[in-house]
Order: sequence, then structure tokens, then C-alpha cells
Amino acid sequence: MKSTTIDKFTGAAMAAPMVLGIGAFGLVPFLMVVWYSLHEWNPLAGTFDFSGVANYLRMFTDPQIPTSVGATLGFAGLLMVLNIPLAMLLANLLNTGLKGITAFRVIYFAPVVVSSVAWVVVWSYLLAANGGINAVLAAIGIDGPNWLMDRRTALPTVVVVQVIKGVGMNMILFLAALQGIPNELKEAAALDGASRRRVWQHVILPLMTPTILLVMILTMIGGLDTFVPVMVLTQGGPEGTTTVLPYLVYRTTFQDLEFGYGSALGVMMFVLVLGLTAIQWVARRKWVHDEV
Amino acid sequence: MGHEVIPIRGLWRLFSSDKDDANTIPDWMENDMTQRRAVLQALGLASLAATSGIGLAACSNDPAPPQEDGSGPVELRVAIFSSNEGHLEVLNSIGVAYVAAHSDRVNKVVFDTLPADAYITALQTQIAGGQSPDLAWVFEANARQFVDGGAFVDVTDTLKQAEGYAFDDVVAEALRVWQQDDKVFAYPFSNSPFGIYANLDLIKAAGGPAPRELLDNGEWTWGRLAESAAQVAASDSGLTGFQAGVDPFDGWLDGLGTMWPQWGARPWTEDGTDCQLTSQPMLDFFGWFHEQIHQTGAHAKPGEVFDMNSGQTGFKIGLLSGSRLISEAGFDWDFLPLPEGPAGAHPIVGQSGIGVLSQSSKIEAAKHFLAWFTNPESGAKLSQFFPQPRTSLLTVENLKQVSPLLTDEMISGTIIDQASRGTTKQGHKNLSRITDKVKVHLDAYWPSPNADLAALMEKACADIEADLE
Amino acid sequence: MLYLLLALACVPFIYPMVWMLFAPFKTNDELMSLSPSLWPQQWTLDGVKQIFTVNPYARQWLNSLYIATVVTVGVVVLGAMAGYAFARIRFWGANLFFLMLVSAMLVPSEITIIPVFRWVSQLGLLDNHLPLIILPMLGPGSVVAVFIFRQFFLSLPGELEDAARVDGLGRWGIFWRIAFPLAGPAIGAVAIMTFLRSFNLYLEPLVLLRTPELFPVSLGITRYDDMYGEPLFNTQLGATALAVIPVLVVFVFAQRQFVEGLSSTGLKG
Repeated sequence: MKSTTIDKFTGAAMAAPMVLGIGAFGLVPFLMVVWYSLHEWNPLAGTFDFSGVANYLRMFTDPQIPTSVGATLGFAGLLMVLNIPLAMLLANLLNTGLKGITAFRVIYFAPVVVSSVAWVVVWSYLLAANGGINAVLAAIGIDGPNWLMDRRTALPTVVVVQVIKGVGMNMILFLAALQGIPNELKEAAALDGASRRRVWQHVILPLMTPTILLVMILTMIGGLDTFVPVMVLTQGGPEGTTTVLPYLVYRTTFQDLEFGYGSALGVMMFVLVLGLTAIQWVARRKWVHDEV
Repeated sequence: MGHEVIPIRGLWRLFSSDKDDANTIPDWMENDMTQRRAVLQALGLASLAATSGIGLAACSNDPAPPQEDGSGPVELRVAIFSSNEGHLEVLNSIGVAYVAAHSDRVNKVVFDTLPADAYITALQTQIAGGQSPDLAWVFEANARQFVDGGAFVDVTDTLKQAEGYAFDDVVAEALRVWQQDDKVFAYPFSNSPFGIYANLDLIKAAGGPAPRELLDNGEWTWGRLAESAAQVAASDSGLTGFQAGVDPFDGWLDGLGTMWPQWGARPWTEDGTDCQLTSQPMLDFFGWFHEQIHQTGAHAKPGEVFDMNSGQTGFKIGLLSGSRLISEAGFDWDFLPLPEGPAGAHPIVGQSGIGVLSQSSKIEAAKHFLAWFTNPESGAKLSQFFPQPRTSLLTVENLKQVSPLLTDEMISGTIIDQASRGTTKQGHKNLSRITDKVKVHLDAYWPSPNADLAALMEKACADIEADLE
Repeated sequence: MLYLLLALACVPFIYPMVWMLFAPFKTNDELMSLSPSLWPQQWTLDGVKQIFTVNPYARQWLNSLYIATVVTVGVVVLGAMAGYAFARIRFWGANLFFLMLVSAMLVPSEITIIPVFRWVSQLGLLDNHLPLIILPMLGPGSVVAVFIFRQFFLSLPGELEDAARVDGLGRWGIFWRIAFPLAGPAIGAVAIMTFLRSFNLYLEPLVLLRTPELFPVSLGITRYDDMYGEPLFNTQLGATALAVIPVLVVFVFAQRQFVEGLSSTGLKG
């Protein structure tokens, strides 16, 4: 359907509150952060000295940066690989009218609501070297790893804890999309003799693609922005393998009290996330149904 | 509007909520405001810049706080990290007493609780946002950051000259971490020695000697403690012998900084410029501790979780504040001073300090209040909850209030004796950056039974060289 | 078989939840111990009693509830409007503005809190609920809502709108009469996410509020300390568990949208 001039005005007006609000409360503060990043800033002492791009140059010699970028990408990547297929699977399993299915939906969603403090506390007990999970493993004769203290297992372990906590939200988004597909379409395809699998592949999946794009971008951003579980479960260790960027930004800004350098790291993180998002956004036309 | 930088700035000064403090707003902040606007305009975001201009020029409805120039009493705000009712009651009573005595200077003292977990974040946001509290409590871990970083103002003369202050009564050692070149920048309103909590039931069952007997016989050493701890650990797989207070695998300095002074070791020189992690006493200490993990089994391994209060631990380093939980635990316990090491005894205290923030707009009034808040009378009130660094207040009677669960023996031996001689763990202006960098290397050391300690410490020293200044 | 599989997979999801519900009735000792057992060894009401006595919890609970409700309604309406405009109407700069929104989502809030704090304080709105309603409603957090609605409206069959247009409805009318009522599943998802986000907001109230009576629950639960300033874990967890209940109730109602969504509208594809 073509958009007339009146339509265009209506559209602009409808989008205006959000666009203006987010511009004012999101982008303007960000530009100020860019400004801060060009300074040597210690608010406690009241010093705020222009230092040009010194904070950005410092990143190139900071040994924490390569590890941290690697950990961040690894974290977000693994999170997407585990979270999205699982969410899709759960959504499809729970999108049936079976009796008692509501209970399962509530259960799989429950971790989303649990306070992150309680969540992490429980898991830190369970994942201790002598904790609940290794006790279960020992009972069946397996010598469990030191989940959070071994450099090979720490990052994947934190990712899995995050997947369980957050998969419910993606499941909900997929459920919403599945419910948005008219039953008649599926029925028509089934009448034509298509197998369930073919209906899913050729009717349902293409209609889900806008939501898949959404979930991919949201999960990626969420993964790149993970902070609390790292702070509580591993404090960035062992050997820096879980020092993801948001944690580094937080530490630099509020623990090392280097607001200027912390801001520069924040800007660098923004650029990184923006780049990755842009790739997904540009690529969307190739596979996302109905994209404009 | 977007172009009229100067008038807007003027308006902002006239109407902003801290208008009376306009004269004391630091220059950098004003520069920041105007320059930021220039940047926004340059980026072609004039409309958004105008939005922020409105923000800057907007009028506040807050009643204007009184002025600092001596023309009237002011309101003081103190940032604290406790929300305990009892604490607030005592603090407010001190505030009320001060206002009653000095109504010409101050008309109200507000104690503003910021949650401990996010304390520094919230405090810094307020300061960076131009709403600095006038005084603030600070954890010992942040002491040097605040003192050396210029966050606190020099209060030496204010305290020394305050009437009835008895400055010499304050334990000199206790002030050390809050000083710079003999100038005092904050006062440790809480000064509590580290000691060893011992689970007497476990120790007895494992066949070890009663720790207090060792103490009385002059045999209370880390070596004897480790022996006894290893027996406890060996007696049951669900037990561990000994735990440093803070998990040393998470926070090596917090966990072990209470121990290596008894080896005569220090992580860097007193002036904070040279790395000492490779010094022989330090290598000896780490080697000994590593042995307790991997050979004697006295200390828990990295990643293992045990809980003293559930009766899973023989000995644990702790502060007075641990006594409530342990007393509810239902086993026989004791609280002893830190044992002697190869370099003898070296008591360590844990502290929190209070100082006047340099970004406050009411520095003079705040200094005057600080002298009142830390004088002997206020100290007597505070000692209901916080052990005071004043010799006159370090009495069994006084400390009974804050430690009702300790015996007189524990109070005099573990608290008073240690509190009047103890120093804090060594601090540094760049402490958090340094500890993070060293931890990366220690992470590789702890799990491996035969790691090359000296080589790791060399690397750690190289990594923190730039931060040790 | 399916049930068995689903039930088995439930364990890691439900276990921490149940643990959290029982935790307030444990002693602090037991909480601190290694034992991740669910059932308290020794039941105590000490922790729960203090929830309401040492902190104006009920008041804080109501604060959270009303703030989250207002924010949720606002985000659903404004987000649906913007999402619809971006999905269906090619107005000037639509793509550019949308990218602007998405990029705002990427800004780390730990850092932008400082300029935001400065503005709020200059507007004299410290210790006021207004910023806690405006910021989550119109701030970067709402981009997700716009995004969800946009994606949802993209996949809505266009034929419906053509018919409405023939009947003489404008864009505004089509949105309100046709598109919005059909958006049940998206509204449900956005409502849950937004309510949760507002309810859990921590950093903003932390720096913007000072009076305990004005605190939301998320901040209130940090205010349970013993005489040594150590946290009272059982009380904190009890307060946390109580805080979760309204969110779960919202979810149980909202998730019906997913069952009844389109099938009940009589939509023919």
C-alpha cells in the first residue's frame, strides 16, 4: 500500500514521541559521554582536563583490551548459539493447546522474573568445586570440573547460567510470533498434504523471520552487555577470561575512578556493538520475510 | 536559543537548584557545560542542544539552601553506607546535638544512606553530577584513592584545634592510611582488629590443642594453626581446616593482606612506588600458603565453598562483625588475635573513615562538624556500634556494647590490645587496578600444584609498574 | 513422552525460584552455608517479620507497582504507535530514525547515568518519581518495544488494511481499529518486558532518589542491615520474593494473549 502525504505526516507524528524521547535521553547523553572520553576526569578531585584522543590511544597499549574484546565476543556468540535455538524449540513445544501447557510456560519463564541476586547466589553454590552439581556428578562416577575457576569452563558456564535465566524471554517473543500466524494458513497447507515438517519449514519459518531477526539482535546486544553474573560469579577471572567489556567499563569508571578512560571504553564498546548490529541489519534483506 | 551560550549559562547560574553555591561550582564544570553545547551544535544537533539548554536553564522549585558565606546556617549532608536503624539513631542523635550547640553554623545534618554494594558508584555519580555530599564515609579499600586523589580536604588543624578534642588520644597507627605527609584527611570512625574465629568443637574432635592454650603458652603461630587446621580438614571430607577472611582466590589482597605482614612481607614499598611482590618474605609467604592448599590440605582449594557458621571450617580470619552469626551457630567458639608468623606478631585492623569532600560547597561548616562527630563525646556514642580509635574509649566496658557476644578475655586480648597497635592492610591510590592486574597472574598460580611463583610475580610486577607511582 | 521431557528440563529453571521462595524462612546461618537444600532445616519467621518493620516496604511496593503500571501502559501505546509507523508508513527519514533508535539501545547506561543525573538535578527533579516514569518510558530501554511492534506489524497481512482503506479509514484509524487490536501477542510480550524492566530498575532510583518512602522495591530491598552493617540475607530475600509476585501475576495474565491472540479475532488469513 502506498503512503500518501497525509500518511507520511501521520506516520511521523506517531513515531515522534519515541524518537524525540530516545534522542533526548539516549543519544544526547551518549554524545556527552563522547565528550567526557576526550578528557582526563576525576570527579572526586574535581579535575576535568582536555586530553584529546589520549584515552583512545591508551586502548592500543592496554593489555586488558584484546582479552576483553575476545571474552565479550565469545560470550555473546555462545549465548546466541545456545539461547536462540533453545528458545525456538521451547516456543514450538509450548505452542500447543495441550492440557497443563500454561504451567510449563510459567516455569520456563520463571527465571526471567527471579531477582538476579537470588539467581546468581543459588548458582554460585551449585557450581562450587564441591557444590551441588559436582556432588550429583560424583554420585554417577564423574569427577566434575572446577566450573568457575578453570579457564576452560568459566566462560561457557556463565553463558549457560545466563541462557537458563533469559531463554524464557526469547521464548515469549517466538510464541508471540507463532500465535501471530493465522491457523488457516497452517490448515490450508496441511490440507494440501504437506507434512508437519514441511509446513513448519515453508509456511511457519518464513513468517517467523522478522521475529528471528529481532531476537538475534536483542540477544546479541544483551550478551554484549552482560555484567551482573560476571561480577558475582567470576569477577572477571580466571586469568581475565571472563572480563567482558561492560564489566571492564564499570571497573575502570567506578572502581579505578577513571571516568575519561571509562567513557572512551564505553564509546569503543558502542562502536563494536553498532558494527555487529549493522551487519545483521544489512544482511536482513537476504533472509527476512517482508522486510521493507 | 541554541546559539546564546552565555545568557543561558547565566540563567543556569541564576536558577539552578544550587544557585547559592554558584560561586563554588568548579570551573571545569562550567567549561564542560558550555563546551558540550558547542560540540552538540557543531555536530548539527541544534535542536537537541536546545533541549539540553532548556535543561540547563530550567528553574528549580527547591527551597534555596542557606549560604556558606557566613550569612546563615547551612544544611549538611553526610553519605553513609549503613541502613541499620540503630546506626541511624546514633548518627542522628549526634547530628541533633551538634545543631543544638551550633545553630548559627548548621541548621540540619542529614545522613543519607547509599546501599553498600553500589556505594562508590552512587557517591561518584552525585559528585560528578554536581550534587556532592558534604561529608562521606569511605571503606578502607578506597582510602588512598580518596586521600591521594584529592577527594578529601586536609582536616589536620581543624581536628587538632577543636575544643576538647584530645587529638593525642587518637591511636596514631590508626590514622596512617588516612594521612598524607603527616596531614590528616579523614578519621577512622570504625577501627576493628582482625582476629581468628575458631570452631572449638571441630578442633577438639580432630585431636588438636585448644587454641587459647597455645596462645597462653606463647605458641600461637601460623605453623601451629596450620597443623591443627590440617587435622580438621583430614577428619571429614565435608570440612576445611582454615579460611582466609575474604576468599583469597577472588580478592588476594583482602584475603591475604592480613597475613603476610606476619612474614614481614609487603606488596609494595611504603611510599607505593616499588613492587615488592618478588621480595623473599613475600615469596616465602605465598609458598607457604600454596603448600597449605596443595600439600597439607589445611586451606580450601580454589572454587570450593565452605561456611564457618555452618560448622564446616576450623579456623577463619574475621572481624568483630562476624560474631553475631557465629554465636547463632550452636558450636563452641573462640575469637583470638592473629597468630605470629616468621616475623613475629603484626596486628591488622579493618577500618572505615569519614572525611570532608573537596567537592562540597560547604567545606568550612563540614570540617567543623567533622571535629564534633569525632570528638570524645561523640566517639563514646559511636562506640556503641563502632570500635573507636581512641585510647580512652578502648575499654572492656565500652566494647561490651558493640560486642555483647564476646567474653572479657576476647575483648581485652583480641580487640583492645590489637586495636591500639594495629595498622591497616597496605593501600594504594591505584589499588583496584593493581589488584586486578596481579589477580590475572595469581589465577594461574593457585590451581597448579607446581607453578613457578617467582616467574609469575616477576610478570605481575612488570604489569603494575606503571600504576605504582 | 513430551511431558516427561518438558518436566525434566524444568529442573534448572524452577529450582532457583523455589529456593528463593523458601529462603526467607531459613536462618541466616543456613543461607550462608553450602547446602542448596530447598526445605529449611529450621523454620524461622525472624527474617520475614523484619521486612515490614525496618523499612517502609509496603509503601515501596506500591511505588513500584504504580510506576511500573504507568510506564507499561505508556510504552505499549507509544511503542505500538511508533512500531506501526516504522513498519507500515514510509515517512521521511523513517529508516534513518529507526537506526537511530536501535543505536540508542547500544549505549551502556552505566555511563550515561551521569549526564542524566545532571539534567534531573538541574530541573529540580531529584527525589521525585517523575524521572523514573519518563526515563523508562521514553528512554533507550523502550527501543525494544518499538522494535517488537515493528517486527510484529511487518508480518501482519496487508490485505486487511487495504479493505479498511476502501472503507474510508485513514492511517490513524487503521492503526487503532485494525492493527492495534490484532497486536495481542506483541502487546503481551512488550507488557511483560516493560513491567519487568521498570520493576527491576535499580541504577536510576539509586542515584535519583533519597527518601526511603519514595523508593521502589528494587532499591528498598538493599536496606536491611544488621547492627554491624552486614546484610540480613533472609529478610532481603523475603522482600525480593514478595516483590516478584506482581510480576508473575502480570505474566500469567499476559501469557493468555499468546493463546487467545489471533485465533479469537476471527482473522482469515
